[in-house]
Amino acid sequence: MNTFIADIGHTLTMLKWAAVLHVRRWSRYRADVALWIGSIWLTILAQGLFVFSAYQATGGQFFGYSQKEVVAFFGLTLFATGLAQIVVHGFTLRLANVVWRGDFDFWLLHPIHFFLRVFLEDVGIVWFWPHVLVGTSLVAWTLPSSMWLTAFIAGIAAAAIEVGIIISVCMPAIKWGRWNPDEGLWEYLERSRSIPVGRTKNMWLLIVSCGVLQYSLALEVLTGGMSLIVLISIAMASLAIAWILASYFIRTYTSASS
Amino acid sequence: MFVLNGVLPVVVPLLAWIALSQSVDNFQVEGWSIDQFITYYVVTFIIFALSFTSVHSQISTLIHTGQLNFWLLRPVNMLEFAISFSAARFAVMSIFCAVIVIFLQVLGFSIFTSWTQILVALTVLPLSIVLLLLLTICIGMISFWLIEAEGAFAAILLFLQFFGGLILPLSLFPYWIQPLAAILPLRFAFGMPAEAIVNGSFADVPIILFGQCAWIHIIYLFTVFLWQRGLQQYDAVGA
Repeated sequence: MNTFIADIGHTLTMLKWAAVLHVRRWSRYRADVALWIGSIWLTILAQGLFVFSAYQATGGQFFGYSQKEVVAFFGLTLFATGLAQIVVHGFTLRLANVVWRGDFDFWLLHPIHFFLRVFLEDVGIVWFWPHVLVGTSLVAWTLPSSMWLTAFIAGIAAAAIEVGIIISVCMPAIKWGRWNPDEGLWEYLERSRSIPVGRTKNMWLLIVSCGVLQYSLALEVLTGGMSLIVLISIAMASLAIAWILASYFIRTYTSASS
Repeated sequence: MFVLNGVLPVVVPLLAWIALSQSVDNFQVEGWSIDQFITYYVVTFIIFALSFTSVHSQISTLIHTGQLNFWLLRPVNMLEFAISFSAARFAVMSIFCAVIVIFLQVLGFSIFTSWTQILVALTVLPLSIVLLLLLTICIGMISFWLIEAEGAFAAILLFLQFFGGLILPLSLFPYWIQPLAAILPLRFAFGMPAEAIVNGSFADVPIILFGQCAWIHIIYLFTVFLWQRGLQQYDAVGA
């Protein structure tokens, strides 16, 4: 019991230090943080403009979705991706570099659970709080209040799927230190997530968008095309796959000191 | 990683347009047919692949690690270094782009349906590549003033790609944003050359060439200015 309380205390201390460190980083590197947030929002605006132009150009025949559904999709995507990136941002940034430098042993030797690193490496809320705020506002603006709870649960489920996908894609870095998909993955997610492809019959578009289908599925939940239970089940499966992959790679990890 | 970074950002909007065209009868958007869309995105991808060399990251690394000292002591100009770095990448990416074009030909899709298109491409592409190279060198110079320049790089490069027409043809932009795209040099790097190649017409080529030459001169002078000011700013152990 005493050991359990000590572990919890240690964990909470590490979380507090992480929050202080990364929030203080905001003031220490204000220009750089502002530039990054600016870049992220430029990407979102570019994607929004693409969807807007495509919607206008096709005379509203945008994969069968109405204007409100498209805006709700955009808001839901922002909300869900903000949540997901808040969780995994630091983890994906640093995992490959930590393994390559040989510091992964320290991660494994710390008394806190390995997956808590997902929260400790960076407090992603510094970077992604605008996503959650703007996404929530768009969803609340376009959907009736009776659908808000469903929308936010669907958003959380989509965020969980994205977390599972990102962790699964990044985990091989434990075995192959040169595997560093962080930048490419972020680019892919930012460019692809704004187009609702749930109703397209184009196989290639579905294949290329497979990493961002969770948002289209969440939209289908809101439009009544899919059950929320199915989306939550997919989220749990995604996290389970990430857990299994992580366990495998950690168990098979070797280094000069182990 | 090139597939994620370079290919997917172009492939995804292209496939989205193809999927939209399949759900709409007689698909025409501002005079663009779906074949023209495909040609446009392939051409902009080729321009991007041939010209985007990430030399700005190389310059940034040299500045931040202090290795620039070695280059300053050598009789090699930074511009020569950037050009040689880019030429090497250009040689490799030319092979990749040739494979893409041949692959599309095998699938039955021809990017170039006439000799005029090929001649237009040979006329406008070289200066597009030079323009983008100078822009990336210019961006790399920011590292003299910023400790962490990756955010600035990302913002500027995204700005380049969007207002250059890499994500969406410039003529499809909303009317209120087109004036901004019109005054930037990027339209002469991606959008206008790609549209000229798609149309297979020499009508706009003089304007494109004039714009490219003018902006190359302006950006070159600005790059030299930044380099000289940056060196005054630069500190390193032993310098």
